[in-house]
Amino acid sequence: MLEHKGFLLVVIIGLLAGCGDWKADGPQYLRDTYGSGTSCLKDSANNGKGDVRVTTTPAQSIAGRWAVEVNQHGTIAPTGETWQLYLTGLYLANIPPDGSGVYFTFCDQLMHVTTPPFGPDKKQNPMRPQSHIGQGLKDAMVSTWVPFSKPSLNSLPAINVLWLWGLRNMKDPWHDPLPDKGDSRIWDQDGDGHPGVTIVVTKPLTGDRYMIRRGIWKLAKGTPDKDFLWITGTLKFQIDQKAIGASDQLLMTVAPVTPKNDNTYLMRRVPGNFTCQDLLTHKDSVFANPPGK
Amino acid sequence: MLFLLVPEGVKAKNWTDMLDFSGYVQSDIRFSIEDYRGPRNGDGYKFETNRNDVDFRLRFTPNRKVEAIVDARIRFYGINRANRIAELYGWNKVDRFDFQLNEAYLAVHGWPSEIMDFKLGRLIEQWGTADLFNPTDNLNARDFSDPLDYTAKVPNQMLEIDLYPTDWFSLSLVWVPVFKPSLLPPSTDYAFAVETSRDGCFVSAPAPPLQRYQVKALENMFDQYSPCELHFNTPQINVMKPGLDISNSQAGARAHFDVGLGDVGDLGFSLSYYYGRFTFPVAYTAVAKLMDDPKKAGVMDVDYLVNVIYPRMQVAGFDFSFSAASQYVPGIFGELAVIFPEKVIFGLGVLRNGNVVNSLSMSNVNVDSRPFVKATFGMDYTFTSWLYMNVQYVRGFFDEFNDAYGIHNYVVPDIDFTFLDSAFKLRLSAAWNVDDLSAAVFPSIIWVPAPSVQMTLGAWWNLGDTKPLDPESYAGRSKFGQKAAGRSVVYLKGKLNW
Repeated sequence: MLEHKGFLLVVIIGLLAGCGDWKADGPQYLRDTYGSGTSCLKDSANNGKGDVRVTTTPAQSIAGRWAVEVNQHGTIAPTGETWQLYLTGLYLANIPPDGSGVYFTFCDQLMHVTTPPFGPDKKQNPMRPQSHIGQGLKDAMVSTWVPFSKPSLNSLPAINVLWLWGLRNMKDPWHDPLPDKGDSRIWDQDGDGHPGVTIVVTKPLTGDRYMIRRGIWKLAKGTPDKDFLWITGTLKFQIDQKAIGASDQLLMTVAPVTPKNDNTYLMRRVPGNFTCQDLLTHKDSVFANPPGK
Repeated sequence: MLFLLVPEGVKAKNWTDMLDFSGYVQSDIRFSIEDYRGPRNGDGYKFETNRNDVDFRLRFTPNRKVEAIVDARIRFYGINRANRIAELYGWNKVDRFDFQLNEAYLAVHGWPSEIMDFKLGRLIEQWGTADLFNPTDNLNARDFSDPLDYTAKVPNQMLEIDLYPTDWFSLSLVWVPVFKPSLLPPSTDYAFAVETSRDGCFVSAPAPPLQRYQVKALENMFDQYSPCELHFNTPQINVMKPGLDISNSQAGARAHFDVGLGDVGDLGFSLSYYYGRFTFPVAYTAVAKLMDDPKKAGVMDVDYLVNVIYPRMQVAGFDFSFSAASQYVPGIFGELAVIFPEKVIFGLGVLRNGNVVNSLSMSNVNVDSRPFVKATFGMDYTFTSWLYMNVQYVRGFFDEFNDAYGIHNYVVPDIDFTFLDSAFKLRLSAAWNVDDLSAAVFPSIIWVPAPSVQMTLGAWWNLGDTKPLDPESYAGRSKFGQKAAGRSVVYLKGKLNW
């Protein structure tokens, strides 16, 4: 396992290069220990998928695994005119049986923008800008644990949730001003070689925008249905974001988001083997027919 | 053993002239001042330590050429650990104690040559010029079993030969036959611990030293289960200790030079070399054994086995210290160690019901074979009779070996305010990780009510996130914020030296 070298008692710096072939080979050790079954040790990922189905068996509490849809409505005004911005966040949530908190995992965020007709006579078709989250951020499966102020199993208590994209080591992550490009607190969270996280813009321009973002949710108390299969509630949100780079300088403009007040969240109980991929593939059926609609 | 060293004729001398007896008695009471750094939230605000030490140091010098040193400590822990009635039948659990032999060696001066000394036995050696953070000092491992006593070292048996050919040059040669590792604080378990809720449901696990996409593949596997369907047993951490063959011996050499700079001041510097092993463990392999619970569908038992090793290394070192003749110039010192490490490739395997899951067998270079640098540079200055300051920049903490965690940078300030005729001292000390912005802050007030007596009231705060800043990265944990860094406590110490 470990290659042996004799030792020298004298100071001969030139010999230091001789240690280059020292090697402790962990995979080889595992092969030796667990036999040839591990002979194909390699770097690989699991692409297995579980069955996709929602849970219909009534439960006794909010503990368990949930698919979450967070609908945020705001406005932006990048050209001076007010555009409507609809963000649909898709997440997984786990609530342990002691009701001590909730563990959110980010799966994806869908963006929809409506713009008024434009042109001198305001009769040209709306522009409908489009963009989506880069695959790296989805793969990163950003997660956060939000403890409840006291254990709760009958309803989702009001909680504040902080999401940081491309940011870390913030002294006060809830309030600190967003750093500028080059700041050490900005990191390549989606692992694509660019700082921050990458947003892929597809219309009206095409390219990548590298961003940092702080998202804060203030979730109001969530009400479960009688079978604990759904939880519904409202939220207020705040988004602070900044572009720190782009594949095209025209993409550097980021308009502030002004939140509206008609924001909701929806949670649907799912089996323990439900994955983000399941959610992205079947989101329409997962959140179909919520209570009260 | 001491009596065997006594040469003939010694009996005729006065024993009190040959014996020098010193030591101390120390009491140490600590109370945790938070409740979130324990095994689970809510565990805290309680006594952590209630300890009494007695230390004896005996120096025996039968003549000017020979001396023997014995330094021993008896420690009583002061916290009852008896859980069963049978354990109340004796002292073992109710009033635990241990005995530690800090040093026991013989030294011969000026033999076989006038320019040569040698020592043999259980020794604690000190190399380097920096204050505590000495990357060139690798002969003794560190004793962090008590993290507040961060200056402690692990004694080891060694042979040391010192040569003094001139008054400005000396050479030390040291051989340490058998490797001894560093002692770790009990909170080290948290570095490997799987976090669960009070009901035992899975909350999170520390990331192994793998690439991000590999960690995500593991997460995807565990995402197949509800957190409460995963039953993690306590991780088993095995230490792969080096063998007793001679190639696992350690050796070092240090050449020291003293240079007088006239009216400017004095400069001392050293060149050193060390061959041996890094004394803190480095992650080597991990195996997750998943067993479907035959009695309950969908429930999985998980055993997590980790092997850690002590990689080989060679260290080329340089240290210096400069003390100026002018009282207006601060003293400066520094150390630089170029470390040539053994390459460590981390391997991870997953066995499900005894069968290897090939798609989850992974490897990653944990320690590259490229040389890296650990260094300390600092200055100290006495501003007035009541104000002293020492500031150090440290690259590479004691336990950092350029593995997947990397080498971090630290600033370590220490400011002493002395007042009331030196009866009181306010000491403000800290270690700040400038990479992740976590810190350990340890202020104290020291009172000397009488000569040889010292009372200390202090605190040790670990500041930073207990949860990883980046859960999918081995480097994502906060240095001082992570639970493995230990509890935040206030303490009261009383010490009497004689």
